[in-house]
Amino acid sequence: MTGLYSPPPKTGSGSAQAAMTGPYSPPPQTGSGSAQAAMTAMVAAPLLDVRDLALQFHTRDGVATVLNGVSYHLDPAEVLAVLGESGSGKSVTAHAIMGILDTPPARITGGEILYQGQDLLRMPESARRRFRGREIGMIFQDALSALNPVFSVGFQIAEAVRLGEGTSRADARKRAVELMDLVRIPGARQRVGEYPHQFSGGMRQRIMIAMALAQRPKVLIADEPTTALDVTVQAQIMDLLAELRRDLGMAMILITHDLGVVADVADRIVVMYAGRIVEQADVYQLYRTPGHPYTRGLLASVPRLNGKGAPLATIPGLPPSLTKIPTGCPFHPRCPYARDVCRSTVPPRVPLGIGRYSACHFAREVADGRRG
Amino acid sequence: MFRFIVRRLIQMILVFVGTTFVVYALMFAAASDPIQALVGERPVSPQLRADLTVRYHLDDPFIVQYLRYMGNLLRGDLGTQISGRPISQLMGQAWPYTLRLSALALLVVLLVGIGAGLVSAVRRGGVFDHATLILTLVVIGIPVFVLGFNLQYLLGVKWKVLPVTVGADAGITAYLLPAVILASITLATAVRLTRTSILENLRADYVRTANAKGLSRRRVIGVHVLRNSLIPVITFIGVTIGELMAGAVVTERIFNIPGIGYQLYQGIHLQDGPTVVGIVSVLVIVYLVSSLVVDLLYAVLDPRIRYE
Repeated sequence: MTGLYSPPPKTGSGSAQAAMTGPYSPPPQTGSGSAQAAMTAMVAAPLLDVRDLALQFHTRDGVATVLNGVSYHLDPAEVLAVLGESGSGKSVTAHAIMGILDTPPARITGGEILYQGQDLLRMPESARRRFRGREIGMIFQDALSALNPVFSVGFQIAEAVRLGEGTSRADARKRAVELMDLVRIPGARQRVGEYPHQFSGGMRQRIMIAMALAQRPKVLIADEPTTALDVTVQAQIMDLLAELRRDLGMAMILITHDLGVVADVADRIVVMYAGRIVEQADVYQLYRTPGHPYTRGLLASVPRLNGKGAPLATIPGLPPSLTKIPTGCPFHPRCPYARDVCRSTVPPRVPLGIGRYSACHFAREVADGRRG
Repeated sequence: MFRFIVRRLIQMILVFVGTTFVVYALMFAAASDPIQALVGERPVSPQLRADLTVRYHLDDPFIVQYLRYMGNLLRGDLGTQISGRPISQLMGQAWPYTLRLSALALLVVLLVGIGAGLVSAVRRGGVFDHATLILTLVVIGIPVFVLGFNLQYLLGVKWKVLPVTVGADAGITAYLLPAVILASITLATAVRLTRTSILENLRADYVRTANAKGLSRRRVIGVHVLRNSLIPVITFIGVTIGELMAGAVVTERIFNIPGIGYQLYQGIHLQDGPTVVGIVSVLVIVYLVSSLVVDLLYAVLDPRIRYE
């Protein structure tokens, strides 16, 4: 994976353009930037738009603020990477989009999730269910536990097919085999009746993908799809996802903490920390000139070939407990740039270019590479 | 699979020989004077005593008696009661009553147990959930005969909604109360187990996947969760099938049902060794076969189980 060590090559010119020109803050006022005006006319409204999403977990230990005003959008046929440590809220945001949060303990306390202009959070469950799987599909990290152990993979894929198309059992079964072929499971016809535990990790993740594609969604959310896999298999799965996304013209939200994966596949990145988005940029800019100290720390902690023997750079300290998020900028206790203002004031989004911002008081200094 | 069954059958033979030996030895040790027990309070003439002793080999050493008994058993001869009645005939008459009772009890456990467990899990923390929690604790805490006699009095004698006793020629409705009494503890446990199992499975990752597909809640719970949740429940119920048949001693006595449990009680009361050992032997076989069936059923419910 060359992307680990150098700025990534651009994949798919069409989607890259969409990323460059995509509106960066709530889209209705896209006309405000004069340079943008001409280009935005060509860009459709985002497919998916998460606005100021706030979410809490009510636990015995108190109320944990898991999401604190998360906003991001996804354009058609675009790959958006959501990057962050565990607990940063990246998966929870995805669950909120899908409407599969465990409530309780989770409770959405504010914001909206617009899919093609319709607010998913303000529709009855019966209406919302039609978006799940059909408009937005999702694949999960651990395919072994995410697949039902007591039903054959064919049953589980066919079940999704029937939901979307209402076909007969026999036709759904045939389509399940086709989908298994599509995700390149060898001997699909023979293996359609087998159970999840009879497949290898990589094959199980392919089955998850086949299942998610069964209803031909416009958006695919991949929640750490390769984390549980061997490195060689990781690359195969990512290649498959990238290829399917391109062929089927889907948009994809790729949730990951793996910077290498991001560089290869994504058009645009949002970085999350302690339930907030700290930086948004396209891949190239983010790798070259990270605009937030946290992003900078993440990139510095990637092992490099030319740094062999030297200790790995780490971000000092630990992510905050979500029941006790620091005042001001939540990253300030770990931040080399931190000053008094960081401890008292939540940093605003500082625009760093078209479709690019960083939530840091010293965003420009960080982006320019000046030390804190 | 075939080898698994063969191995289990061989194990069953060993268990069968062991248990019959223990039961036979216990009855042998406990027997004071079966001839006196037969005639009750009246005196027994020495001539009659000598005749009976010879006819039933009562003077032979224990091990000879046991081996003779087992030899007959293998030829399908369960022996005769001291009264002279063949035990196979006794069982032929008694089993249908017990089967009717335990089949109905099993049905109650399956329908009410799994149904109530499902509802209290889905409506966790609701009125139904709390009510069943209290009720199941009460049922588990109260001895069967207390529950049996009280319900018999209330429903049979006082309110007259159900027959007081069953007897020999009763219809299936008469078995309803005895079946519920017989099932009560298994039922209460099945409710708790189903509830716990479903709640645990509701948190499983595959449920999130099923939801993400856009399946209805009914289908997620009724198909995905239920199938997984039933694995421990069916295992538990299967293991108790033997208990439902053997455990009918108290229930059959309360409701005067002339089944196997009733006959077993009579046999123990009369110190009738052959009857007790014969019935227990058959019950042991019921236990062993039902546990084998459960093990095989387990593989049907859970494809991850393979018998090598």
